[in-house]
Amino acid sequence: MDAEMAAGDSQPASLVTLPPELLLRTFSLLDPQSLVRLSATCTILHAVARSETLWRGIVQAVVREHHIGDAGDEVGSSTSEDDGSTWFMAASFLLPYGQNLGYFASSISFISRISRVGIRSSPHASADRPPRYTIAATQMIPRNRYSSATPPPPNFLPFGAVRPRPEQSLLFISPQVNPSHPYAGASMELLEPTYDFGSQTFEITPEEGPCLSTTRPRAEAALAGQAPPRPSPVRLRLAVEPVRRKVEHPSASSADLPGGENDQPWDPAARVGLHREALFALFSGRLPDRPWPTAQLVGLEELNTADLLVYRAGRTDPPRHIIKLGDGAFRGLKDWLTSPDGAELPLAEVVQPADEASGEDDEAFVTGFRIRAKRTPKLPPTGDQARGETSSGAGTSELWSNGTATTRRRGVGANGGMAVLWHGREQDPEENRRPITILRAGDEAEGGFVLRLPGSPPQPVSPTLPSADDAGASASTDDQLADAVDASSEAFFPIKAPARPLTWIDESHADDHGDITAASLEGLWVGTYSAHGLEFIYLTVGIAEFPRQGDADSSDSEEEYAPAPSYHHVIQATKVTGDANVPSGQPSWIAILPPTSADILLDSSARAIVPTISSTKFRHLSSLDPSSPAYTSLNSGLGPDWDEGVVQGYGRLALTGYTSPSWSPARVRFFKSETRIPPPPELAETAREKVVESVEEIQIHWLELSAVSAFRRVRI
Amino acid sequence: MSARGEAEQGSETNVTLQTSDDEQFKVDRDVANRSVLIRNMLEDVGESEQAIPLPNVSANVLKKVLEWCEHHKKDPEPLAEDLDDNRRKTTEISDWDAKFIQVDQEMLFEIILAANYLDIKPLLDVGCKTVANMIKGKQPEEIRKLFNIVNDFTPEEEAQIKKENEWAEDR
Repeated sequence: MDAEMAAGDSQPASLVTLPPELLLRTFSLLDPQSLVRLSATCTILHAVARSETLWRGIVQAVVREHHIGDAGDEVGSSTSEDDGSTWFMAASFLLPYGQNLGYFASSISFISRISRVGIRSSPHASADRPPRYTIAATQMIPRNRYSSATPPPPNFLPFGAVRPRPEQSLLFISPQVNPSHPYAGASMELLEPTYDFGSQTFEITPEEGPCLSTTRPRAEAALAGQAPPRPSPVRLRLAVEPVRRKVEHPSASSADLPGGENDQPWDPAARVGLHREALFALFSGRLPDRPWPTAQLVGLEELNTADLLVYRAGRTDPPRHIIKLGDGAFRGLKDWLTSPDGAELPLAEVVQPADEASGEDDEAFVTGFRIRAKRTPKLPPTGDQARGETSSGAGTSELWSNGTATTRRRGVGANGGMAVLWHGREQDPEENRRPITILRAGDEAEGGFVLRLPGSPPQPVSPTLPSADDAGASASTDDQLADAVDASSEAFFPIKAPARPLTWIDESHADDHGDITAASLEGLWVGTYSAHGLEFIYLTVGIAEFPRQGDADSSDSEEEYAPAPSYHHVIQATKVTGDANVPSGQPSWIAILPPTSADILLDSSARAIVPTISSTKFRHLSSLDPSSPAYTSLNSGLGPDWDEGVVQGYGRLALTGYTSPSWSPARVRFFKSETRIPPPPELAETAREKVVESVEEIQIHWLELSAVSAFRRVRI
Repeated sequence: MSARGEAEQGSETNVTLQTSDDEQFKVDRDVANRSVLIRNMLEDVGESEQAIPLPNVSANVLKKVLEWCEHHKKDPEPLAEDLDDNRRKTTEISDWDAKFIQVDQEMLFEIILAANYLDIKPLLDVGCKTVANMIKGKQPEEIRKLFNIVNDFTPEEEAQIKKENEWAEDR
């Protein structure tokens, strides 16, 4: 071999002459797309770039992150033993869906619902073949392990532990026990969340290729008080097509509407004063660098004129659902979605990108999927076009037209998520289908999709579905289901994934001084909201402006020249899922972080610090009897320093329907916990157990409500 | 020949390497030890004045490899293979290495071959990452042009591959 190599000097070293093991080593560094392209260059590289070891690694990495369990036999039973599946084929099925995997929050703002799109697998008999993968969406429902039926665990010590353990998840902390305790007289909810991924909303199997299929959502039936139906064979086939389009400058106008039936140029931006960022947000469901856009962020507010007394004064026409623009102009939603000649129009237009040469890099693109429902009507259209027209007065939740006319609808989510949906006959030379086209929008980095499910905002309750009996018996169940899907306007928008469980390689969040940076708290949390149950919030760190004097009633803007405002680092909790009072997309609470030396300039790179108290210490202090010497000796006889780890904050309170929202003073307590993590087995000999310090629990004391909410970081 | 120059200091810690084209390099033992192959050979034969033959490496390549070993002689030993695996997923290269590896393609692949033969894992990684970075984001035709690859598919094969690869495009 040596001699051969030496003699091989005549042939210079090149990529194709590298031995296969070195090619494999190199190619293992490549992303899937580069690998695929590489495989199209020549036979030698094709052989290596298609090798199963490479693709197995790629597939397993995706599956590891998004695995949501094993598929039931209802799906896997049809698989024959020798279907010749390869890891490459598995990758070509899974990876195109890659940007749609993850966590999504419902656009219905008054309910608490998160969807997770993940991968199910059912292993083959032989170990060297890939399992059969399907993509499934499940609903993630947090449940509190503590209920009134299950007493708190023995290690829970409310303050005054000399008393018997409480028997309720909702504790009332008696002021008689210890009047100086910060929670004295308040009710406190215990939180130990578990997550239920039980109810499946849709499923995609490899045979269907680029298609989605829905099964009857069991949870919806359960919501409607019915017995959960068996997994339904009814399927709405939805073809997923990738879309990449550019959002035009507001000044430009275009008639290039997909499926558009009128050629009249119309510029929605000019009419409604939207700027490009707003348009982008409306399409993508999010703003760049902002984790959870709200209609407020883009200067829009969706409301009913019945709630606007000033606006209603002296008027006799019926209240309308309107969108309030940031500049204070009121314009009915229907008004600015109707062209001068009475046709419905999209809120904003999505056009093909201009030619590459003139491309400006600050132009927003809408990328994503169009989902086309492929249901061929069993009966010829009856032509009752009036149905669509008459029902369209119902605002954003009107039914689709059943007729042949092309109609378009805009879905307006209260959290700012929006998509232009259009429905009707598209130019399809081959078949006379009536596709529903749903634009799935998301910015390029985050991805996302709009999945329409039964449920109709802004009402907090889901509409009734065709009953289970109908679904089994009727020949038109396809249509019924499709109608149910059509009638809904629930969309799911991508959210940042929950944190992974802490592992040995994770760094401690505490810095050299033992301080926890505020940035480490960012992410998804779940907390107790009393009767509303558990809700998800998203924490972000930012800088807020406060008037120099008085409290931070941020809803009032100071018109007059006032003393210079002060600026503080804040942690803001934005609701990812909502309830009947404060819907999703709205702030739930803010915590004002104490100033640090770096605050003088509020350098954005300056690291804000969160004051914390060790959870064991707080528990210990709480359990002390206030009359005991150990208690009285603390802090020179003044008792414990209950302010440790506490900052001032404000919580959002509102009446049903988010009316009269207000900020209510609160105290926010951050608990620092230590997680001991053993090294992974392969390093057990050389490495030692690690202690990771992080904030995993936050408690909010709502002073006006005399209640304490507990929040836990979502780690799954 | 800095490697040879520094090697004069202490003869007992020096190692002589002989290349395929019969050139001899005297290097510090620390430097030579970056190569697991040479280290194992030295451990096997013990102290010896004899030159170690490296029949797979030519002088100009060895010179380049030794330049890398000299710069990295104080680096800690590579971590265990499983962590190493984790690290390899990224294709970041240190500034010095990036500059070092700015060579013509033939030399790049010679270095990779030599690093593999001499069993210098970190250098092999640098080489592989460089090649991977060259491939990334390029269309097949660009890759062919860059690496002088002849398209030896039949039209039928090419059409078949194009069909199989469709899913990865236009994302």
